Amino acid sequence: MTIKRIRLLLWLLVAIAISALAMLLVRQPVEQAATEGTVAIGGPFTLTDGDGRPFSSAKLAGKPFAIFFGFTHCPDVCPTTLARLARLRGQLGGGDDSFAIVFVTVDPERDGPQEVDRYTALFGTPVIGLTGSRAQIEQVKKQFGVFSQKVDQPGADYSVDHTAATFLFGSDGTFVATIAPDEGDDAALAKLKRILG
Amino acid sequence: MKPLFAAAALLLAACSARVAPDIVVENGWARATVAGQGSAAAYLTIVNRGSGDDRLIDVSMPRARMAKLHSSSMEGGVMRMRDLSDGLAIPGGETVRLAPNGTHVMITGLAQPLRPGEQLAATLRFAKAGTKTLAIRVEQAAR
Repeated sequence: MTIKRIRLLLWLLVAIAISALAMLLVRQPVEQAATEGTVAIGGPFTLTDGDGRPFSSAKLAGKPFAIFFGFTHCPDVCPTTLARLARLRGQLGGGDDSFAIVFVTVDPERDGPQEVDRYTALFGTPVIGLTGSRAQIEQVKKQFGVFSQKVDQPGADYSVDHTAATFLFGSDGTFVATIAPDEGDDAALAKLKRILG
Repeated sequence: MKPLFAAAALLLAACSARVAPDIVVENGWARATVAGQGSAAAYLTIVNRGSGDDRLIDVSMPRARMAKLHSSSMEGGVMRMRDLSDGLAIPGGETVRLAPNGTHVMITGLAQPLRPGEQLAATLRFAKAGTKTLAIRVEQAAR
């Protein structure tokens, strides 16, 4: 090997190392927040349920729950996530009461109690649908580290980019893990078993 | 000279047939929706049995005001949905699946909710293979 080639190889290695480091730096904050149980995620909140009544997070106490943030006009990821949670809860065999499935809209402008109520009824199993004032939704998003942003679409109603993870909490209210949409069912089931204790 | 031209033309035709795409569309489905949900996603499988590349350019569904190719992609834990304005490549010999949490046909402007058991007509336009039609079957949302 000539010196020139060795130098080229070394530069290549440096470039790989830099890009790996850059990727790590970009990804780390999100993954850390999403997977570690020690980070403060959650906390008490009050929103509005599908009947238009105030819903206090105290109602979730004593039972594990899975909470997902989305919007009813979301065609792909939101129904896919809720359908999967419904299916996995069925597979685990503990009944509809084994853990609560909670859906919180990040689009309170379009999703009032009625929209959220009708939407959550789609999945053939109890799903708690919640909405609230813009300020309430912003507050809850902050508590759970959820990001969302309206995106205009040419010729269509706006869409919303949003954090797509499902947050899992144990019966004592502690945050346990998240399930990402791109995780397989086996991994998701293993995590759900952890909150069932 | 004439037979030579004929032979050349034949050879050319044979060559182009060999590199032409041969598109089959199948397994179309969508989740049921409720009133108020303005949009839904349709999923399907595109098989290119030929060796030539093709591209899905456009989808239309009479039941919806608009049907568009969309992609959902995860970026740092955030799901982003975007138009595929350049269409979708369907390479020769490959099967491309439009499936949940990925590329899908976004249906907007539904006057009526999609009910389980319904069949929706869809027309897919390809750059080379022309138009193909298929029925999108509406399934229970909890599928």
